[in-house]
Amino acid sequence: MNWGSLDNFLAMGGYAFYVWGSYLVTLGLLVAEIVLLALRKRSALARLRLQGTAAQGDR
Amino acid sequence: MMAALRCVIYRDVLLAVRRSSDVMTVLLFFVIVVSLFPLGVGPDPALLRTIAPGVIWVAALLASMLALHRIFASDHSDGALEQMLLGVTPLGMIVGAKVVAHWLVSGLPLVLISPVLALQFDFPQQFLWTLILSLALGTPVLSLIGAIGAALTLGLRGGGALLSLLVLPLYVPVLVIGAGAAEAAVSGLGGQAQLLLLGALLAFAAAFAPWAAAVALRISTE
Amino acid sequence: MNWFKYSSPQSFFPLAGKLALWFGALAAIACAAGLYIGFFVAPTDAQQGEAYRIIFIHVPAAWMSMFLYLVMAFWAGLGLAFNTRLSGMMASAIAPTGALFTFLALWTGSLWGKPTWGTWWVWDARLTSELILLFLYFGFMALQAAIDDPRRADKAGAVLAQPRPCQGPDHGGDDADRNGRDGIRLLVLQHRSRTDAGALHHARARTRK
Repeated sequence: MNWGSLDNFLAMGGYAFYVWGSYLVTLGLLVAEIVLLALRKRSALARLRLQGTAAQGDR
Repeated sequence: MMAALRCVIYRDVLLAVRRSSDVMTVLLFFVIVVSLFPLGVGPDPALLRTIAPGVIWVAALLASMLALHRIFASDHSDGALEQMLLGVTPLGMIVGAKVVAHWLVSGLPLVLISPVLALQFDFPQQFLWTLILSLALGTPVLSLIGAIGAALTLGLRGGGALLSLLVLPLYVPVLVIGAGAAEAAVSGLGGQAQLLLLGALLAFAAAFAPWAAAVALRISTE
Repeated sequence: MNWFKYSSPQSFFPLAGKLALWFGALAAIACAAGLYIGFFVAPTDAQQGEAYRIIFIHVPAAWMSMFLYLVMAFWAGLGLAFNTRLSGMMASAIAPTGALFTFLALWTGSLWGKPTWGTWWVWDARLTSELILLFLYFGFMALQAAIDDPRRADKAGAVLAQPRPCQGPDHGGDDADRNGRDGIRLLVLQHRSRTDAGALHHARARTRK
């Protein structure tokens, strides 16, 4: 499929809003999910580390 | 075992009648919500006639949902529920009996008053029976499905709103078919198909919902 | 190889970490291939023009939303049946992703419907059922969020997630053998009056042995 030029590709035959609205939201949400999961993992590990040091302090 | 079940039904109905404000609240909520719609959409009779079955069904759905948490909550708080869990009678049957009592107190009054409300909307009289029958078949299904939700959310904070969130998506098929029965009757197609489907839903729910609620009760109280 | 050793969260966690990287890489490659084919190989549609390219996102999202619900219900049901903690964790982990794909299916479908059908939304069976599916996911997540005890949360979610109500067997008969008639007798007593908490505690302590 030869688009001819970048402008043609971005314009999507006049349906740019709909096509890019779908693709960009999808990309954004997928990336957001991965980022949120990475943050949750980091905070969970930090919390466990804190609990571990707190337990050591109790001993 | 039948004696135990009759005992459960009688007890629940007796307790509900003693605190009759519970029963009246549900009924009044139903009536008020149905009355709100003409105020909201305007008094055009043709429009009201069209939306009557849907409005009455949605209001019945919301009203019966109001009383749901009470199926198990009061027994849970004073410990009677634990005795039922430990007793000889299968928990599924006890749950079924409690749902029957709940329907007698919260569902049946709605069914009985629905023709009056339908007439308020100038609903054609010859199709009133279809509407009443659809509610009579549908409200027990709502109570049965609602019992599962009530059992799952037993003792949780968030209570009523969470229960609604869980149970409303499961109510949707009943609503669509139930309201569709009266609408089909009015449009001349006859509501038999929907009524038969409602009957099937009722049979299915009556067979499985008490057991699902029993499992949920054991999970919630362990 | 003993697969069952991975059924505990502690042994599964490191494995999951390693697998996630490989699966992520595989997904990225597949995504790139799909995007290339979708944009540079597939020709323009005769009727819908370029708007039809949304299908390459919409259909997979819708498929994922329904498939993930089944997978979630499967794992939750497994956790309920075999009392395995990891199955419940799997179900809880799938739920937000499933809800995400359901939302994407609705969003992309809506954006596809506007240029092709002329409307953002219509209340037909497929769209409505996808919307209800989104509510089901939200209900599942809300229920699990409201319960503090993770064990109870897993089991409650499992009961909710079964596509039809869970038909688990009722174990009341086994427990009843232990304290027989006491349960019903107390039930009948409450029919006359409310038993006080002390008597109940005593009875409960007796029956727990």
